Amino acid sequence: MITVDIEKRFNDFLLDVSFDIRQGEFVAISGLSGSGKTTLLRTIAGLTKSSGTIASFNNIWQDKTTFVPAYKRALGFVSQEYTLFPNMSVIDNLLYAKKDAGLAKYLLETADMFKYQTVYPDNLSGGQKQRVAVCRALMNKPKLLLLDEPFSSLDNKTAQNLQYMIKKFHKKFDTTTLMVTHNITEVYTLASRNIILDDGLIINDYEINDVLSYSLSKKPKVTAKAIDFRIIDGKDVIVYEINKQLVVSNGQNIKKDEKVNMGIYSISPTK
Amino acid sequence: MIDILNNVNFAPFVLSFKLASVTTIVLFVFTMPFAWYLSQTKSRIKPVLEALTALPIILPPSVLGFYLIVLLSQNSPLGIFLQTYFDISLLFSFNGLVVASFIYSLPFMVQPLQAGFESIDKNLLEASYLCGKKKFKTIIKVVLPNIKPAIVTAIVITFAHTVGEFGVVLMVGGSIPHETKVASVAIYEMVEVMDYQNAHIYSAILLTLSFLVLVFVYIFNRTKKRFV
Repeated sequence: MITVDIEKRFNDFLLDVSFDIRQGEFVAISGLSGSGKTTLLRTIAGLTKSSGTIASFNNIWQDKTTFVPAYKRALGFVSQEYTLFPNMSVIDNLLYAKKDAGLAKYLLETADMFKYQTVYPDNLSGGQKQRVAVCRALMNKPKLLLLDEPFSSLDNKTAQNLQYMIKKFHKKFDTTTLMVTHNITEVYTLASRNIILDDGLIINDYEINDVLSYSLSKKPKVTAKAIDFRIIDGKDVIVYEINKQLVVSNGQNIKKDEKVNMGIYSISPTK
Repeated sequence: MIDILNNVNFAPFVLSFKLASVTTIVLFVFTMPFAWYLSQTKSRIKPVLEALTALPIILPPSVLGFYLIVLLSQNSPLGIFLQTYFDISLLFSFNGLVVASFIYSLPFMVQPLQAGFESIDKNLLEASYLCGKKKFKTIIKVVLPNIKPAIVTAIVITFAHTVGEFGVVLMVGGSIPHETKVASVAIYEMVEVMDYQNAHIYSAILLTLSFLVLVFVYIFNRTKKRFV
């Protein structure tokens, strides 16, 4: 169990969140830009200090008297930036995290990157770099894996491949995972639970599998049933049922009675 | 030509290179933590520290030399302390030249190192911490290998600058053969006594050396930028 109960103030902004994560859970943290998602992840990782309590599987990482530095937290972290060490080859990047050649080989083979083991990061594509970054994050067999918008700089196909890989690793290692994203497709593809942040506060926390009463804006005027997600014209949209009508939205500014042109989008009829 | 070179006294060059080597090593070891601090700190005194570090670049060597003589003389508190407890007199000695060169060449070591440290992406440092590595290991394994051009620039420019220094070493060290008479001081003395032939040879050697050093630095940095 991961327990997070923190407050972090930046000038006028206050991040004030409290939640628990069960062992093996894959939780998405979503919300608009500036809602505090990345700050939350960095605080859990020990890269940003805050007040409050963070505990991981009975180990206190942070409370009034304790602050465990990032290098002692033994968690995996993949950021949206490419953070492979340029002076090390792919295999050396993994072995830097832990000298376990067997595990490194397994991870790279699973990620279809073993043939690049002697290649340096500058000669890899963005998708390949993120694959290696995920492998490196798993080298310590972390109990908690943090993903900070790992797909945001990748094209759709590359992102989908990486999502498949992360899903595979999650199944294999049963690593408790927290992923920040504002892409609803990623939420539904990977996560079993979605925590929505807005202006530093949790405005919704629901199980994906239960589907779902979905709060659509800061002060929801409409409660809709999200029944599908799709990519339409290159944009991620959610398909909702409102008053027995289908509507699509990016999940942020949905309007009541918004209708979908069924002929264009080929959305299945509501059940 | 060989006859001419055979008659050249290379002792001042040996002394210059010895001084430059010792100064470069001492500066590299002792100023690296300072350069790292400057690159990371957000303290209000940072501009003051940077200005103090850069002073030798714009200060006339005679001013620096004068204050070093005041600081190191046997009547100063430091001079008395060193004389009483360590039986050391720094003025007109090789050790004194090292101290003077340390201060005179300080910006040439600190500034490239600081720029190198500042160029490192902070995400890389955090990635290393999240791999379970402490700050010291991160600096050794991640930071230093990724700022090689800055390190080479700092070392080579500091070495070359120390070989070429004149005013400060003359004031602090004088011209004692095999002790403080470095190549630049020797050239000055040759010109004074109108020994232009040897002055030419000494000057040509220093000119060629300085040029080659700069060419090496530029080639190295260009190569590193392309392949790292």
